[in-house]
Amino acid sequence: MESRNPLLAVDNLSLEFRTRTGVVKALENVSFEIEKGQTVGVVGESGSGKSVMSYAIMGISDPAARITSGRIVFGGISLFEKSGQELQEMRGREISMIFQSPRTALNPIRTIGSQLEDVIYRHSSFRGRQIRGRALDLLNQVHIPDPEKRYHAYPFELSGGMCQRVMIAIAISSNPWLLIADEPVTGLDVTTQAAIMDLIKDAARERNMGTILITHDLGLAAEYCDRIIVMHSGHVVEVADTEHLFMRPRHPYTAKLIGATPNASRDLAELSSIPGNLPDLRAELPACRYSERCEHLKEDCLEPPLPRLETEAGHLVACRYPL
Amino acid sequence: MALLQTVDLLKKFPIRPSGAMGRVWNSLRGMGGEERGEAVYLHAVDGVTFTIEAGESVGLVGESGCGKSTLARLIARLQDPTSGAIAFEGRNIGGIPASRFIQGEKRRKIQMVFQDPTESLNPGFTTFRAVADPLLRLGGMRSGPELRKRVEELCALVGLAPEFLTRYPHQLSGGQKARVGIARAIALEPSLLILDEPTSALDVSVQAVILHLLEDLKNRLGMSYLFVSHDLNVVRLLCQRVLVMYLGKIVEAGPTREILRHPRHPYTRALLSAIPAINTTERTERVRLTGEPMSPIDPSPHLCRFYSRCPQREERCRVEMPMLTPYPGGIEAACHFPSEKRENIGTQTTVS
Ligand SMILES: Nc1ncnc2c1ncn2[C@@H]1O[C@H](COP(=O)(O)OP(=O)(O)OP(=O)(O)O)[C@@H](O)[C@H]1O
Ligand SMILES: Nc1ncnc2c1ncn2[C@@H]1O[C@H](COP(=O)(O)OP(=O)(O)OP(=O)(O)O)[C@@H](O)[C@H]1O
Ligand code: SF4
Ligand SMILES: [Mg+2]
Ligand SMILES: [Mg+2]
Repeated sequence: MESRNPLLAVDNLSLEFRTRTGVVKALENVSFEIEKGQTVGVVGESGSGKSVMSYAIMGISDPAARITSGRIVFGGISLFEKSGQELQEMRGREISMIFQSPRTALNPIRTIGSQLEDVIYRHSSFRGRQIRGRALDLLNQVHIPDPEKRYHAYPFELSGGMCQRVMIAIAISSNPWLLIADEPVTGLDVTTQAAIMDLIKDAARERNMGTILITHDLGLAAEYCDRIIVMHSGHVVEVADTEHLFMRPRHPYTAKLIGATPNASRDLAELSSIPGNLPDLRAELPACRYSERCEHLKEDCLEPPLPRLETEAGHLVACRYPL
Repeated sequence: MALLQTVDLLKKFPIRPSGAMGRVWNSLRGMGGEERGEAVYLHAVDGVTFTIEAGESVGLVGESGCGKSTLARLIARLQDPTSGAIAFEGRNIGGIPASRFIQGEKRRKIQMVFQDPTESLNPGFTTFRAVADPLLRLGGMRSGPELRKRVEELCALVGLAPEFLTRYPHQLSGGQKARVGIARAIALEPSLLILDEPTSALDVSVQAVILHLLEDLKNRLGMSYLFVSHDLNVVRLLCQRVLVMYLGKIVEAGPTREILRHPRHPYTRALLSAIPAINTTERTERVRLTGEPMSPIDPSPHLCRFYSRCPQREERCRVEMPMLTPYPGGIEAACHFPSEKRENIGTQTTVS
């Protein structure tokens, strides 16, 4: 492939948590890239490491977390080589994140208007009255009705989805290069969802912003993402362009995931979960962490290393026997 | 007798005006400033009447901020209504102050799964303690092997492996926390379970586990649900009836199948048309809503709440609030110009 300069490259990242009952191997050899202007979806089972991975990119770490291998390169610069101070400045300005639980990410004792003003003050050249104008404009764009009257509302006075939307306004107000959106529209009704996604899409187009969209909604990912990363138990098991992935999933887990999605015509009896549970991440694990649940399991699937096949240009799959 | 009946339920919140006025108002608030009529009010739930029968599951859908969680909290008696009645098993519980209801005997019969699991879990409680808590407080159980067995059983039902029992919320993923919330809420086998977006943090596989669990509890124990969800594909799977809310009011209600097949209210139509789908052939023609949503703050009692965005609106909608009116198929809709056109959303199988 031609040499490119990706906006973000995560290379062989492994991360563990120490707990009272053992070490949780939450990420293992995670690698992927994001281009400028690209929207990349991250999908996968609950607990597969999607949020932990985004925290790692943001440089937010639990004291119990330890990065055991790999690098994260953003705009050509390795993040682990930056000092705490530099990192602090970079995130928020160049990388923004919308957290999975927005109400708890907002400051509960300050009004949404003042929280928004802070971010605008810090990251833009707006001053004085302009700041208020910009803040109201943003609230309007994320469909908060009557923003003037809601300006002095505290987070607890807003609905769950409104807090989510305020978080989105804060995240895009700094014109970041990379937006990490952890379930940004989850729980929003579909019409609001569409409006917010259009807003994120526009920002991506106009400013060439890269976006990581973490979601459980495969329909949403299919509609808005250029590429999709599928995670399972701390591994990236498949990466492909959206169309390819849905047309021809190669990893058995991806195929099951797509098959388990409720759609307009299935009923409850036809809706099945993927058999087996996620493996206990504290245990000694086989090379392929899906092997215990896999219908196509062969003996050598358990042997390291976990393969990373390129079945066609840009379609990567971590399975020895792709579908 | 219905398990739950609400009549004309209303919840208004006083709102701080902005700027200098706000500061004045804030300083007066503690001194009865509200009563002096300076406040404006946000109508979160505005005259909502509906019933839930025993063993029935009712879906509640609507735009973000339209009042679904407020309605849920009123029924769970965590907040006091401004006015209106809530009857549970034939007794009016609407008048009991929320603070007293917590200790009452009906408490264990109405349980709720909260929208944001991070917010609703005590950060100092392990999974075990969080799930054991209602059993100890309201279930009459005591610490011991029996309690442990019950907690493990509940966690298994929601797909949480034993390894998670000793974890604190910050050591869990979003979907794992959501499942702790569900395990807690079903622990006492309530007769009415209110679920506020219970599956939105879950992947499709775990979601299937939870939906089957809820269906099973309904069949086995006759549990009833008020199921708040943004996902109509999920509501369709679990709920016989659905309520569509817009800005504090129910604008359409009826059997889920009927509403998916023939939505009458223009908002319901827009909602149905916006469902994302993997399969491009399943995507329907989008009705993109244009125009600003109306403000929920002191809205006009005559103007249809959907007027500002309605593609169907006419003069009459500005002067006369549409009321819920019955239509064939058991549907009620509040619109002066309901659609005559049938949709085929959610019924591909019957069409082809
Ligand atoms: N501080 C911690 N200590 C121990 N384990 C942790 C900690 N934080 C996260 N984990 C575990 O790491 C795994 C990955 O968690 P993560 O939050 O990234 O999942 P996720 O893919 O975002 O899931 P969801 O879709 O449910 O939000 C989970 O099994 C979780 O329990
Ligand atoms: N304590 C409060 N004080 C003032 N306003 C409030 C309060 N609680 C809720 N509201 C307002 O009431 C309206 C309805 O909120 P609610 O949380 O019920 O919406 P929702 O339908 O659950 O939305 P979502 O889908 O986003 O969760 C919103 O405009 C919200 O800002
Ligand atoms: S009453 Fe009028 S404005 Fe309201 S939904 Fe119906 S057509 Fe639209
Ligand atoms: Mg997560
Ligand atoms: Mg809500």
